[in-house]
Amino acid sequence: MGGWESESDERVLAAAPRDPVAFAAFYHRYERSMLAFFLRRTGDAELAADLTAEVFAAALDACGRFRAGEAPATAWLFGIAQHKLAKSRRRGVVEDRARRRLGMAPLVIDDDDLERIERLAGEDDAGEGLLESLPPDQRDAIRARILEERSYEEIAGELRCSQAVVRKRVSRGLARLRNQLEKESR
Amino acid sequence: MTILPQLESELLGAHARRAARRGRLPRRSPAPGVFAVVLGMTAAIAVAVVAVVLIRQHHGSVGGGGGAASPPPAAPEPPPLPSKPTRDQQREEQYIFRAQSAVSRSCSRGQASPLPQPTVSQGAPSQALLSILGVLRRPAQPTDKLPTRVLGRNHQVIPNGSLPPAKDIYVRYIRRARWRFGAGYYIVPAGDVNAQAPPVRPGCAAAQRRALQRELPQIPQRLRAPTLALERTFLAQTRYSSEPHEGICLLALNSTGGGDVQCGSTATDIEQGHTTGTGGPTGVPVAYGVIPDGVATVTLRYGRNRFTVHAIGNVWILPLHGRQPQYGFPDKIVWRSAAGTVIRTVQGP
Repeated sequence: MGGWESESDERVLAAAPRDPVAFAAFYHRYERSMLAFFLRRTGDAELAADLTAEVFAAALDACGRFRAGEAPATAWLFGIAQHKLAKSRRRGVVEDRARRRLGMAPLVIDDDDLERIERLAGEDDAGEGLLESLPPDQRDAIRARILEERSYEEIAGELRCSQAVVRKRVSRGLARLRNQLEKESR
Repeated sequence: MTILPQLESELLGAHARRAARRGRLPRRSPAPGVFAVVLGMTAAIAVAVVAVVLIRQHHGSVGGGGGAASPPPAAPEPPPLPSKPTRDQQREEQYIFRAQSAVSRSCSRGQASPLPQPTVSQGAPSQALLSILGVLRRPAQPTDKLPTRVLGRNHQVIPNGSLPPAKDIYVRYIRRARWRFGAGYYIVPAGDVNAQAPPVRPGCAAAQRRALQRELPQIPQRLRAPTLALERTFLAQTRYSSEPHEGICLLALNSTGGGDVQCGSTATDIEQGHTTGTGGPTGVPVAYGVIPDGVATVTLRYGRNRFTVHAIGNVWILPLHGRQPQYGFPDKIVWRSAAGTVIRTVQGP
């Protein structure tokens, strides 16, 4: 896959806006774990496929804004996944905004695809506990700042605290995630 | 290996389009109603169009037939009964029901009939069916063969025991539309999928009409004409539902050939979305239905909850495991095209 196999997620994702092979490598790395992540939470292979498609479309759309060092790429990707899942639960449908924006054709799946996804049920869920493992204040701050890309001012207003406090929560949360991922990769 | 190769291909295509828009070429080109109650209560008169029969209880075998029968001429379907009757229509229905109750005993006597033996045909379904069900138009594959029916601990094999209770089953057009949770979902077209419906007793309709005439003086003047009109529709529907109809059976079968059989859907039923069934031949409870070509997704609404499933091989399947027990027949079904356009909204099952 164009020599991206040995590169870190952050480097792959940083190159993805310009290099389709880098994005394909990123997709290959996380397709299974993303499908497993959604399958575990929804118990529905079709839903898992749709949500996965929307997450990767949103990731492609937003990878140009990804800043290496700010948040681990997995946290960024599974953050999008959490956001899409929460939205689909709230609205009762999987949105396809990102896919439409990119002009992607609707996902056509067959029963073989669904069986392959269902077989992932026992696989590790890479996103499991990543954000959930953080203290609630840090988790909320990361969601608002990193995933929803809102301003510190707006978040501070909503959380009724100063911008400095929000910055600190984001920074501490990211550091904690980074440490966690480093420990897992050792 | 990629699990969803189409998604990867679409993502790469989108990447290339974005790059082209920005004037940069990618380094590599991308790869790849109320009346339902009335009908139910007077079941002997009004025969249900769709019957779900457990094939476990059906030990039928192939009967005669075998000739290249052509489908019977399709009788025009009478106008439908009001699905959401107005208050006046509800009153009219009550008058009709009262009149029917007076004659239902004599009408129902001796009408119970055993499940018909299936018969097969080497003929082909009508254009009306073939034109809406792409799965019937594709070439037959080995997987389209119905599983052998095996019964009991001693593994008794019932020849053709998986065939549904229909007449003139177009055996060359049986197709396995889906394979989910260890069960095959087969579409079985037949010249008469209404074979299990007992005939309406001769003179029954006339007896009903006379009974309503006797009721007429008690009915307010302004409701008399519409009540008589509604009765005509009702009687026409009753007659229609007892006549032979070409259509399909949807079989959901496990590896022993046991499972669910839903027979009676005509081309019109399919186009109007009246094919919803529930079951679970392998223990996984599901809701399912048949949809015509052009439907890409089906959204099922249960109260405030919505679930969207893909249409594959003209069949949608919604797994119900882990969901609330009230899920089964949805309140509303929405069909959408691949472009997301709403094709049809069906109220109720």
